[in-house]
Amino acid sequence: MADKLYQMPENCDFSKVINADTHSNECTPVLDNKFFSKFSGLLINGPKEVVWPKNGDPSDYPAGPWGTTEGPFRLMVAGLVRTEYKTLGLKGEASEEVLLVAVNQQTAESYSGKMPQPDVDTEPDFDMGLEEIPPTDEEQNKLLTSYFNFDLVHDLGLPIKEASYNVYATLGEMKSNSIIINTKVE
Amino acid sequence: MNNDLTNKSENSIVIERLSTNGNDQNGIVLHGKFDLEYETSGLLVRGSEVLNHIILVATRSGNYQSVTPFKDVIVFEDDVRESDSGCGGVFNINLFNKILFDGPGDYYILCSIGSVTSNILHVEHY
Repeated sequence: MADKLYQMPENCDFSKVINADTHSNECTPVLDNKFFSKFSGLLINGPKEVVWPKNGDPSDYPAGPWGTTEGPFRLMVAGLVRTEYKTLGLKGEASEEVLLVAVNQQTAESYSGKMPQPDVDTEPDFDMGLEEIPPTDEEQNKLLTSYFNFDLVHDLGLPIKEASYNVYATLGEMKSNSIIINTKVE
Repeated sequence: MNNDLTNKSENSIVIERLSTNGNDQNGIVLHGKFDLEYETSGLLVRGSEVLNHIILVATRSGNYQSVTPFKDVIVFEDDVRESDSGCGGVFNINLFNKILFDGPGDYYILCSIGSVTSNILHVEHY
């Protein structure tokens, strides 16, 4: 039997996952080889269940300028996308283009969104007057991994109520695994 | 369409673009076909109600939207063939009647029902 190309971390702490972060964390799917894996596509990992408090409001906990979120009303999903450099002209930097979709299994209401972009002024790149060297054919086909982390409450607008969601991600002609997340209010 | 679910052990949704014979004035019309097992497809509804649970996801460059195209549409029992273990059926969707953006571009379209997702259709609409 062929070895699996990835593993899904179980029992990791999703409360430690940072929204809009483009780094991996303990909940991020793990490739069999970080740099040389033959896996190509999208993977997501999420908690089986989250419990939100009955009192309070997510609007009391606005996202920070970098998209980071805090407070009790969060639902974090961690993922990775591994694509060829040339895919969609993204040069392997695909995480900000990933679309996450959550569908309420009872009502079929759907919610979708991308990772928030930083709401801050960044320093302009220092122009050295150098031209970008075009990648070789070999580099164009090279698989590159980028990471994404979503807060479904803040990024997709999931309502604070009990439900069961089918969640998946898509980018171009790629789609991820589907996961089911149950939400409770207590 | 063959809606015989006998011995079907896999869930599937397949979407394709209906031919417009070179006339793109009608936009992008999709034809979909599904065969689902209740036990393994993550569905909480049965029979014709399944059509109300079809999700359409479309992206074009920076635009994206997910909608439930048949949420407020009356469906008839005949629209879905049902067996003891699952159901099957077909549907058609005129994309631009369902989403809030249109115009030229590369569209990536998929549908899902329960935990089952379709192929992703890439339509170059120019």
